[in-house]
Amino acid sequence: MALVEIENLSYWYPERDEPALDGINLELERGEFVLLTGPTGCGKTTLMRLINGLIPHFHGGRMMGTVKVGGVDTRRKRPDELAREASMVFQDPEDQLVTTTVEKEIAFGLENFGLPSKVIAKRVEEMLVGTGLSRLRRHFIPDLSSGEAQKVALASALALHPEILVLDEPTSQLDPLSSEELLTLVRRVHEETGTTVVMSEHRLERCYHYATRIIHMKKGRIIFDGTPVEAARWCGRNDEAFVPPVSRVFIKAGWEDIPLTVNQARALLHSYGYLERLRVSEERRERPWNHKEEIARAKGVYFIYPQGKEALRGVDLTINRDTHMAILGENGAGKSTLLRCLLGILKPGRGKVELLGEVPSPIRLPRLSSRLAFCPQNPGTFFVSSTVREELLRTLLLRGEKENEARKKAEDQLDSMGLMDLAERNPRDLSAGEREKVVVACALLSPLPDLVVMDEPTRGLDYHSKREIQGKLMSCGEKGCTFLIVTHDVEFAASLADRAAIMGDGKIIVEGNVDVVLGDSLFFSPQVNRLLGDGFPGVIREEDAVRILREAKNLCGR
Amino acid sequence: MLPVYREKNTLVHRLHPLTALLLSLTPAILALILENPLYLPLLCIGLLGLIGVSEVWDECRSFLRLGLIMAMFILLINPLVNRQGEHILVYGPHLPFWGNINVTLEALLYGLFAGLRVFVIVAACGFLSTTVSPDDLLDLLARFSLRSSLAMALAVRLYPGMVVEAERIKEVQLARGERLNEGKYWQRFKAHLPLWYSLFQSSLDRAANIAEAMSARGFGRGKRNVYKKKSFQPRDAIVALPMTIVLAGTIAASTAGLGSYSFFPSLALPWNMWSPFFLGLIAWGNLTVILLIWSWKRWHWLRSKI
Repeated sequence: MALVEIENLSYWYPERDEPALDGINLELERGEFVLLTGPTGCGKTTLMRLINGLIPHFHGGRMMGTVKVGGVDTRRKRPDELAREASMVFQDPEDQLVTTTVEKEIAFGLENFGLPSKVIAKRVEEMLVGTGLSRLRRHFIPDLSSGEAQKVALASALALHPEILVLDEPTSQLDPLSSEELLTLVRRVHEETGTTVVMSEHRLERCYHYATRIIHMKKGRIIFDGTPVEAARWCGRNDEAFVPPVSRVFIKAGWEDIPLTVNQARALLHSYGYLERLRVSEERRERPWNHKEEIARAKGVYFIYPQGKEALRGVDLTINRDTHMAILGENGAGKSTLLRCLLGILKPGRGKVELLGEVPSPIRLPRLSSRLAFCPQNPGTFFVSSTVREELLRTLLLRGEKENEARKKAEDQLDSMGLMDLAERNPRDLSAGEREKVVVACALLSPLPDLVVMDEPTRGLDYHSKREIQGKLMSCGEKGCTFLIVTHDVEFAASLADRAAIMGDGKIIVEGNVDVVLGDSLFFSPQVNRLLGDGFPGVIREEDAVRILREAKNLCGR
Repeated sequence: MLPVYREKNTLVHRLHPLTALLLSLTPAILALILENPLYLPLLCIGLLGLIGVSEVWDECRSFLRLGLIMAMFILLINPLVNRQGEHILVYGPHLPFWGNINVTLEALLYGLFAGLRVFVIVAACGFLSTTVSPDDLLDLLARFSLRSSLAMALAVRLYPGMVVEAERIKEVQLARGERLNEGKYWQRFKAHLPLWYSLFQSSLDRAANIAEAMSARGFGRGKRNVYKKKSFQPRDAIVALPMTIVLAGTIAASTAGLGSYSFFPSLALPWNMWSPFFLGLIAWGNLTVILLIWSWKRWHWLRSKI
């Protein structure tokens, strides 16, 4: 008997006419590592909520068909009863941790099941040791980094000794290193304990190779179910992009063999003798560097939070007109603090900040709104209107446009951004990709601002949404818009930016042309650079890698 | 600084949650029971002393500010809407359907008394939330009522998040061009309204997410166990005793009508033969606990014994 059996399942969220899941038939066996892929809003999260009974018990709605976990219909068991069979780790660590200390958080689920204190103590201890959280045992949870908090969420889920571990985009808030650490832990749990893992993730390069089975979804249906190798081939045949970047470039270059990891790709190229034939090319994409027009500047900026944390320690950064600057770095490196100092929201303890020729401050900031656009990390903090149309209109009115003119411009923008169908929807009810698109639409309203500042614009976005937003930004960049982007998404930074800076410990560690900064890095480099960086150190974009692989294919007679 | 609980090395932070609950809520209960305006300032001073000696002054500051604003609001509004009292200080205009807006001495002093009462209650809530671990409180409440403990857990988790979220929304809206810091009070208030809408919506979303996460981890399935129970220690008895005496004495005396006071139609004399009893009782209770907390921090011998 399969561990999870889903038969003829369709599900509608309350007050929705379109089904979130439509005719799902699925069996999950013990010990599988299942990766759910597909565009935002395709039903991945809904499917995972079904496995642990949150649907229909918590969310309500209409459900047809059956879901059985361990042979028991989930309709007959509430989520609190199913929690020991299927434990879930959610996307946002902030929204799932309930108590105030690490130790207490891990014990929370066990306490709810009324387990004897000795058993709880033993399991808490083993989780602390097993997940490397011992040193944080008594730490105050709000003081943890996102990576640590997500590890605590994972430890709390594992403490219940579940048969199935369900993870809903667990790394979407984490920097590359914390993501790697978390996923390594998940893989270890899977391999060492045989726990069944069901996970959804957009950054496929991080976990595709860990999976034993890929389920691809679209519009509430399962359209592919097979091994990762089969899935990559299927994506190649069907023009789907839901594979790691390294596989994608091989597919686009027309190769028949599709590797899943950089290591496999290098081995493949090596087997045809191509790696040996690579010329070392120092060709790098230089953009004209305008030294005269400074859009924003931080000089010797120090900032200490009232609690004593020294977040910035002498930051020097200049952003010139027509530059697309990406700032990368681990969580807590000082990226967001630097952004807030540049906007004048925080006043540096020492050093100088200039933004659009002024010393920014909370009083001056609103006056810069016609020349500056800010896209926050969480679009929820941006939306204050009840429809998308009103949100665009409001942005223009705040910039000082007259109402009639503003209405016309808002309609034009809705049309050009493909948002007309969503114009009367509440922006908070949209999917992550759609919400980000609305924020970008507001930021890029005509007349274009001089500077667009973006904090983690690709959080929770699938490949297509990212490409769409990237396309809009590129076209505005060509019209003279300057971008300052704080991101963990190395692939996005590589494809959009022309300059990059890596921050660490409150300082700019390195800053320069994006292909130099990302090309010379081991962890802050895109997959295509890790593949071809030996011969082409400047290759960081997929388009360039595809061109090289096409040449390689011809050269090797593939 | 965010008004959230942080573990500190003081006697109050080491108390059993039930004792800490008694210590925090006693001033609030007394403020509600006592009708004589003479006793409230003493209660207020005692509570501020407790906050200071428990080293949570910084954490409580936003609660104190909120209490002060609410007290000022009541002080200003009450004389305008309360038409009782014989001694008219200001003759106001005549309003249709309402009559004359006259400010009386009695209504003014009653407003001051009611404002102070609200201040004490808000400050006591601040003291409670910054000295009692929400985890301990959740464990305690879950023994009696799962629903109220869920509501409390959500409130405790949401409040710090809301403070941070409010800041983030403000920053984003400033960058969008919202002039939140300009203009007169009314203009600023109007500019802030969309922020409240946004904050409310975000908080609802977050509350639903936290409730979902709690449900997914088995919360609500019935009797819980507690991993590390805080047991009653001698220090709990030493703190609980004076608080119980003060609370019981005040309730008994008030029930017998000994502490009653009337503001209307004209002010009664606040000092009567029972005043020394009430003042003495409140002062003794507060001083005993404040001295105990202070000595515990400085005297290792006491720390090791209780």
